[in-house]
Amino acid sequence: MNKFAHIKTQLSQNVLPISTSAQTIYALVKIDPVDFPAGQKIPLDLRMVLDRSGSMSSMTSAYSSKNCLDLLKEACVNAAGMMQKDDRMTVYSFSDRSKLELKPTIIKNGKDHDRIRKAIQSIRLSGSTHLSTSLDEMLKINPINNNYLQRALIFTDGEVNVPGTDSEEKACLSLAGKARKMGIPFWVYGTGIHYAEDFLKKLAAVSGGSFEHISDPKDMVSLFSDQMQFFKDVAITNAEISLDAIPGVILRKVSRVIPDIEVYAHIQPTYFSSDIPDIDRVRGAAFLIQLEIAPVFDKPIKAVYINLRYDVPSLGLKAVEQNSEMEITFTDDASLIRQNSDVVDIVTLQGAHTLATLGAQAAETGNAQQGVTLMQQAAALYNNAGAVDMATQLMTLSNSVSSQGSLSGNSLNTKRTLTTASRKMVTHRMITNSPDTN
Amino acid sequence: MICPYCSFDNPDGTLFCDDCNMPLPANVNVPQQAISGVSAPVGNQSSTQQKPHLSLIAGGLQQKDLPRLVVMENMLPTGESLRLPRPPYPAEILLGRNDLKNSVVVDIDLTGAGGFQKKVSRKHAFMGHDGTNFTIKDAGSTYGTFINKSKLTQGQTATILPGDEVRLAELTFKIE
Repeated sequence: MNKFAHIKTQLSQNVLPISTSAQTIYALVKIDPVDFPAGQKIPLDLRMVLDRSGSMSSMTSAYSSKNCLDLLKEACVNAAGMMQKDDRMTVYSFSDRSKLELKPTIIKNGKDHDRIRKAIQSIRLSGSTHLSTSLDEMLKINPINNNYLQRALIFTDGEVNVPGTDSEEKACLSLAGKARKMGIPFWVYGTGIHYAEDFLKKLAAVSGGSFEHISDPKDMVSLFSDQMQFFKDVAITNAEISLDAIPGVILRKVSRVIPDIEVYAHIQPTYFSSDIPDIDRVRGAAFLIQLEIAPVFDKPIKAVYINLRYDVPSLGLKAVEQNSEMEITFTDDASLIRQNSDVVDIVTLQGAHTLATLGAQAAETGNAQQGVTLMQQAAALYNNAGAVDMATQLMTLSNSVSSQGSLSGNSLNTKRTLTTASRKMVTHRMITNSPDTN
Repeated sequence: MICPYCSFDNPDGTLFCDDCNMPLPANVNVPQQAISGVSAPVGNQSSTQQKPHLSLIAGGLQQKDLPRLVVMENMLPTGESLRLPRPPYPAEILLGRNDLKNSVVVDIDLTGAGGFQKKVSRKHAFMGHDGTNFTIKDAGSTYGTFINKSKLTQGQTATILPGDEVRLAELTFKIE
């Protein structure tokens, strides 16, 4: 069987002691595309859905003449400039109405790039925020063929509110589910403090995509540029991982840690399965699994069977399957036990992220004291892990919550920024080999 | 390993409490003196950690004192355990599976423990407490309620003694 992905498991300890009570071990499962020949290039079919509601007129700083929409257009023009021959681009904008700014355009030459640039620059501010119509129209665009990587990039700074929030949100989520089945995940971006964070995260998750908070609109150019580069680096799509534990082994917690941290809820004790977002050649994907081992083993065991199923679009391959096994050995000689600091560090970062998130939630829902305590605990962990900048920013936020008695206003933007950064901490550390985000 | 913040009993080697998510002290089974390139467990670096008051983290609950319903399979715990209510116990604790579409809400939902696959009825059994031990009676389930393999008859209330095995359809548990 040809293999197009490396599946590598590292445990938090090289061996476990033979014990008379249950014990915990952590496993990091890393998935990276094999360095197979590039094959054919995967053309990109990118559909942009952009907010042009009145709130996008807000100025980004007292010293700049550019408002949020100006910066969004700049970021999109830059992203469009990175598209290559045979890629396709479509742009919708939305306010209280949907508008097709650029009909589906396959790039053949420089004139097409010019046309795209002019269409984006002609986007004008308008009324309120009605997202679902644009999503619906965007999804109706016929695919060119099965070889394209179809992705939607959605940007907003406000709450969806037309015709009514509940019905509009339900309509958007229904369309997100439809998009998932069509293989068009949403990469959703939100900026400011007025957008409905939970709703946008759910919109991305239901579609099989990703959500990111943009702390400063001036960062949009670099973020969109990174996103375009990521699309180019995608090697594996439609991936699904499943974990099957043997009797006596329990999957206590499962989290994805690369490309960002997501802790899965309501997992079964002996079986886990999840879709994986696009896997690129630079970051790959990684999962952190907390295993509980019953005190019944004294010989090596194949504790968990790992199955990976995926497509390799550049080679035209679908539903490729690969299997791997997680082996655990036991010893009665404690002097042989060694910890794997790389895995322990990742457990620490994930634990810190959980505490920071819980703390922010507590502060947002009015329990400032508990929020401060949890955020300070998270800051201590980040500090110990060498992520000093993250620790400092988290302490600053907790001090702000402590003095204000709540999380609101600018603190909310800070919280969203820190949450985004902490979610990516493991990836950042792996890529830069640096303990901090700056 | 008892969590110093919420008193939850975690398996050895756990780095963050499974209940309150706080970091745990270093596991005594792992050598504290690491070889070069291997860092000490995070819990050793406690100089910047402050132990918050219990009430801030776990609402003051002393988890170790609360009985739990421990799900079993082939005589081994599956890892799934559910906390029983704090005393004073309600007259009836309904065990089963939530079904919000049909407005069925139970006190202890066994869906996450494999209740659906193991044919647990939505309203399966009632637990109570007679002052000393827990009791159980069937709530009109489809596949029955058993104590140590003996099926309870309609209306029969049985006492659950320490070590007894209770089975709802195909889902087995013990009280610990």
